[in-house]
Amino acid sequence: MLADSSWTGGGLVHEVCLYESDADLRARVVPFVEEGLAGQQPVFVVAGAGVHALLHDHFGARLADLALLADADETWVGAAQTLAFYRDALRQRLQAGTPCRLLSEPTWMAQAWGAAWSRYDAVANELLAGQPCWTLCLHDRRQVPQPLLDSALRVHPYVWDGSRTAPSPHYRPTDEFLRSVEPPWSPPPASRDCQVVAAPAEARSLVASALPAATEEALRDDVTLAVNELVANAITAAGTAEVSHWRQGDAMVWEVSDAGSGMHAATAGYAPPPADQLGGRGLWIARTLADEAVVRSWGPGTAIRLFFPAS
Amino acid sequence: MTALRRLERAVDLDHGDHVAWAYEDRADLRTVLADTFTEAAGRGEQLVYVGNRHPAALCDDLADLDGRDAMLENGRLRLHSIAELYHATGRFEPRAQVETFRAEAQRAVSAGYHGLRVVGDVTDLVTDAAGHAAFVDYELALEAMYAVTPVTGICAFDRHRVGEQWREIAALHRLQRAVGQEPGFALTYASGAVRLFGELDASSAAEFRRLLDAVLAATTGVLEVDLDRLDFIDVSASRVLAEARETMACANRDLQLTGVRRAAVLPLAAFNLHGGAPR
Repeated sequence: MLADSSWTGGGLVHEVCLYESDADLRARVVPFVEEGLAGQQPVFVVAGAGVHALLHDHFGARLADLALLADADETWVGAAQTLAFYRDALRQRLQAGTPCRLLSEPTWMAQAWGAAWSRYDAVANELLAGQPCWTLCLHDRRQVPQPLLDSALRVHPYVWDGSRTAPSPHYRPTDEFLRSVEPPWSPPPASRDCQVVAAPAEARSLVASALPAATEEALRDDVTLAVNELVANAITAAGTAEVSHWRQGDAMVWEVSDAGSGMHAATAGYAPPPADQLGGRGLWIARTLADEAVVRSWGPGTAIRLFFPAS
Repeated sequence: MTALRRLERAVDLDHGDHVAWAYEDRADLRTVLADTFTEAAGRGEQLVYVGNRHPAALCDDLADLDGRDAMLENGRLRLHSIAELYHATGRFEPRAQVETFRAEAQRAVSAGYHGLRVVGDVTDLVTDAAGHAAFVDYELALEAMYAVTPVTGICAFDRHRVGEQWREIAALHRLQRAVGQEPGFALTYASGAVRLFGELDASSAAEFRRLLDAVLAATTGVLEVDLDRLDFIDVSASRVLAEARETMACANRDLQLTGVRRAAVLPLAAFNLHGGAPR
């Protein structure tokens, strides 16, 4: 068991609180923020209107002491970039070893486009591993669909049980969770179009010729850039890349494979590298642009599938 | 300003066009000369051929040009050696050389010609490692001059002698020819602004970095980079811009991006680079 007052920054605490009343919310949020301010720990808040109203009501002028007070809907810029926002917001304090608290209410999970957040929330376990950060994630049971609430319980190592923060019996390691929610890796159809390329420009030409003429320009740009980045990485790793594409239900699948040394981290590409690190952005961009992205590595060799809406 | 264009033949050229042509062999060069000078003569332009060989050998390169001897006789066609034209002061001076061509073009117009068409076989200038920076400076200044002068120019290179450097030099031209080896992008500089054309990716990032470094070294103050005519930019090339921004910041200089299309926003934003949308 963890008690707020006892935490002084000894590693990451990633906790979920599923609430269904203002009273539930108040019971968890107020002590979390109060303990942080009392301990002179920077408190970052990204939340919906209900939490903002509660905080204003309870803390009044003391809200000026928060390190960040932001509206969740205004913060959302897509799952990949929102995770990067959190990482960048906390980075300076965490690097200095300062224990931080993050109160996050991802209100976007009540919307269809926010479903992917569960994976990025899972990746936060790796992104903030070992950091002196207590992240409390709030979900309104009345708003968020049950499957996403179930996922929330699986990606958070700790859960608020109504009176205390305790290890979650539902928690699954990040890579296991990601594998369970990503599209299944089925064999590609024999009829797929497949071509070996030795330069990114060849891959872009392939995309240009493969997409139907009526494809919207924005989708065309997204597919082109995403495939380009994967091919550039593959060529760096192995000299050439194999590019395949096929239709799968309502999705257009693009697969880029190579015979390089492999990429075995299930979390690869979910978060961009820090701003001062110049490499490692290609897969992150591909993930950002695609509806889904799945990575498989075996021995030497990697294949990455991107799923886009079929135009 | 025109977009990046790949040429099949050295024709359909207009004033302001500045071409990089990597020729395969002497026969290829002769075809280029015959094609472009035939077109230029038909338009009433004066013709200038510059090469690093004896005038008789330069004359031989023009064997396929109809009316060569008559044009040499009446002054419409002039031949110059590299040493005579580029090294008149004993060393290659980019800005002075550009002024020479500007004055040549004005003299041609004053003499009643429609403009000036120049073909320069500058293989030796490109392969002179010591003069590489000066040659890049020269090509940047030449491109800016061409934009406002009635001159059309072809910079010809022996592809086999120049090697990989060809791609970097070619990228200083918006019209390019090298079968299967074009750099795919072009970079120009004028009035405090770099303009990018074509497509920039991992294959061309190294050339882009060297050219941008050359511009940074030759300029001061704020540098605008206009991406309005850039059809594609990836993470590798965005990284080059990010590094340039860092370099400039260390010198209290600012790099400003303009003409950022939608497709460029994400790779640039990955390095916290942002800029104005196309006008």
